[in-house]
Amino acid sequence: MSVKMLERIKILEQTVMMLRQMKTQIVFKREPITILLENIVNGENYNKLTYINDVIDKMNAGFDFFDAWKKSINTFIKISALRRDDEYLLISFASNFGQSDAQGQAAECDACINLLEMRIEALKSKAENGIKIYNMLGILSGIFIAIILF
Amino acid sequence: MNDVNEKGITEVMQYLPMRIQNVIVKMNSQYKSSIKEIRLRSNKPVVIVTEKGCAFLSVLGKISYIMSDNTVILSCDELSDTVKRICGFSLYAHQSEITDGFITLKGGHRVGICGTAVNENGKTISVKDINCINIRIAGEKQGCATEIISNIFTNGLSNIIIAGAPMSGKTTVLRELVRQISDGNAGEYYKCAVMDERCEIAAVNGTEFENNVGINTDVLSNYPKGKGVAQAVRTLSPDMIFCDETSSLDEVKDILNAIMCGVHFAVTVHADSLRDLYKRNVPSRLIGSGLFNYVVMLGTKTNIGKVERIIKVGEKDLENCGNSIACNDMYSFGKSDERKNA
Repeated sequence: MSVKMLERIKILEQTVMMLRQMKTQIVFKREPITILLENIVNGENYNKLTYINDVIDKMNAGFDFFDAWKKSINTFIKISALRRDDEYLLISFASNFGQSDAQGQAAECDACINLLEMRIEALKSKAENGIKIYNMLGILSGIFIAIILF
Repeated sequence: MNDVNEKGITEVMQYLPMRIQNVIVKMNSQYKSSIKEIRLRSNKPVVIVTEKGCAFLSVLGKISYIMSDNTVILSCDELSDTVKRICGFSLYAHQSEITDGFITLKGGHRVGICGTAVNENGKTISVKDINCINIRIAGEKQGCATEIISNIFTNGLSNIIIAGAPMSGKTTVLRELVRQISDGNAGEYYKCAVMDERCEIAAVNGTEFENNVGINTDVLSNYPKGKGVAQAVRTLSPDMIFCDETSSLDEVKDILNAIMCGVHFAVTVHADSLRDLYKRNVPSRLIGSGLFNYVVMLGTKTNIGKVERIIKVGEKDLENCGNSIACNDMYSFGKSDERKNA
């Protein structure tokens, strides 16, 4: 469980980084989504976000951005450590993408980043609690064995 | 030109609804190459503009000059989908272009946009409810500026005005003129700068130019003309600057200032006839400045992109056309030449 949770945290952290990069390129360069996605695929920090390649392929095949994103996330959820509530969050981000000016778009990115960061924090504290419980269980088991032996 | 036009149609097709794409695929190349514009309106027939005029697209992949039951009608959703595709699903990336009423596609094809303006403090900040788009197919036409080169640029550079009605091929001729001058066809490899305010001339895609604008050309894309001209003069030391669609007196002022700095100019203006040149503020100011040497009039309809007349400023027929207006606020040609010589 812990390994999967750590994997999930890594994916969410990379998603946050991706959104920050997208926001910067939207605000300063007004780059369209196709260029934003290509830059992410070419970046070194996004090895966990394999669904982006899928989005690009689908858009090249004629899908619009939202459909391509939704289908790719649906597939990615099945093979990755992400869960249904992550899927909902990522899809809702795409549903509003590209329909407003740069300021509006930056605000959308910020809103999604905030939600993801809250989720990451919660997962991290959950993981820490889990580690504490396991440590405690280990100590108690040690004490129990010691009592039996002596 | 036909091949170029067909290439243009292929480039534009990817943005159209699948149903329209399928119809265009069925078309024979003769029909395809005759398309100059595609007009899409919500819940209205798809209109194709050819040299012969407006026609309708039929589901059978033909162009008909009469509307029939087979005419393709575009739905509201299809139009909305097309707009999204044209914007690359990123409205913010075309924010300023949309408020100016157009978007330029890869390959330099211009899409005119009609909708409801959203205004704030007297300024248009956005356009909503887009109900019509007009896709103009751009095309390179090799050799269309040869006549201009051989008549005007044999003894060095000159300042010229290229005038024509809408759809007369002004941008195409200007693009070819840049290419030829930049490539050394005017005697030497002159340094050229293009003010590509609408990204139509060079059709910049990233750092690449999709259209050939010559080997010695610098392109300033998306710059407001005045700013671009000033920057080019300051930093690029061009021999000649090329500006498409000069349309405001501020731009005229910036161009004339740059000419005073020793840079040559080729500019295009909208004008249906010689008389029109004088009725309209911008071309009349340019000619009246006495700094432009030639006016090139382009043909229309079956003569799109062809030079109809080349007139040296100061020639009698040009003077006659402008006589009534020229008196108001500009030098007559003879006098301005004298002023220049002095």
